[in-house]
Amino acid sequence: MTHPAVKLTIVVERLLEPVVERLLAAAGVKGYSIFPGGGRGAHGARPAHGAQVVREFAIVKFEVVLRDRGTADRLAETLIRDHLRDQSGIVWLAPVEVLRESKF
Amino acid sequence: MDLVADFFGAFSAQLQQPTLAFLLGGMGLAALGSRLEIPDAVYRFIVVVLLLKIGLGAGIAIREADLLDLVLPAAAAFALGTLIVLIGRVTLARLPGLRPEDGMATAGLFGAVSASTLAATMVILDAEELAYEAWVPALYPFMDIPALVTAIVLAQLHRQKSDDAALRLRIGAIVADSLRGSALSALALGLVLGLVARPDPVFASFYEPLFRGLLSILMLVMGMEAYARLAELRRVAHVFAAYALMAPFVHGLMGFALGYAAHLATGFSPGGVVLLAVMAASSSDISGPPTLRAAIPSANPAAYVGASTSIGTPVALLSIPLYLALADLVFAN
Repeated sequence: MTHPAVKLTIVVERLLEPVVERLLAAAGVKGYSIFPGGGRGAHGARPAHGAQVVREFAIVKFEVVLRDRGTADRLAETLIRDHLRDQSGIVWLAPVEVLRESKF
Repeated sequence: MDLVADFFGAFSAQLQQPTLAFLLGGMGLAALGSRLEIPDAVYRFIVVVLLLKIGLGAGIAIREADLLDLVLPAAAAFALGTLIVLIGRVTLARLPGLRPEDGMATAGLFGAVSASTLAATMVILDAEELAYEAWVPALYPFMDIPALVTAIVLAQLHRQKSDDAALRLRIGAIVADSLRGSALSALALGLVLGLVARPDPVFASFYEPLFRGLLSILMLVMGMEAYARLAELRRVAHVFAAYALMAPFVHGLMGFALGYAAHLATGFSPGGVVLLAVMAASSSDISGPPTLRAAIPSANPAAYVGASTSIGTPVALLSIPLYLALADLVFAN
């Protein structure tokens, strides 16, 4: 038996990691995961495994699953409006099915 | 004429030394599209060990140093860090067709100090047997922090002028952020441990012997990064490249002049003068960029990080023989 929910994915540089964590805490989310990574985008390539001279410029991916679509929308909008105008980052939402409703 | 001949003699000899050879090797590998990778964890470990070694060495030396000898070189380092950024403000940041914030952030990085260049100079001075007071590397934060603070304050003043936003000068926060960065944290810890503990055995048996070898790997990483960042730099105004090419020489000679003044006044060693010159010539590549990125978000990192890492650092490293030749000339008599 699954329940509908929304997954908010945020890819930002480590520099913004504390900012995103503060936003998530303020929004009252119950939990999230952070994954280190690399890749290529508008700001060039970032090595996934090799040395990144400035560690704060390496990317991380946040994944947050929320039951409330409104909270997810507000978080995404705040990030885009207040933080990702000058800094690099990508935010997207996706519908997901969760098994244990009470965890979100 | 002698100076020119000296420089080219020293230059070709230095290119074969491990430090510069590994830097050029890293650039060559990246240019050829090699898949060679130094793992990130190894790179970060190396930075910590090198900076701990620099801090420990300086701390142990300060224990026995006459603190009065430190005052003038420390003041010179502070003045250089501030002055370099102010010069960048009235030259680079005033150029047409360029956003002033980008110019100020670039000047900030060039006023700040490169830990890798500092370590490389120490190794080269040891190889040349040109003595310096072991506490000189501890001048790093005296130049680094004022440069970053000046750049950030100038950028905020400029922002206030252009869009009338509330002026928020949180100098204490900038200093704390700089000191919390990995490079300066490790240096500060080493310095304190060298001063108050007795780390001499572990210094002699672990940090000192590892220093040169680990530095060669760091140079390889810096070379690869320099080449990778060059692509980004090509997309921004060419004046950043021109600045990055000239600034290390101008700043290095300013550093040499102030160091020489300290030599005349309080007997600052010739090796110390060279080390101060290279610190002034160098531009921050590890710890400065994130501080500026956080404090001047409107500046384009492709401009300032590209200028510093892909041109500033290699040029500063390659200019070391110039200061050695200059020292030979000035201190020979």
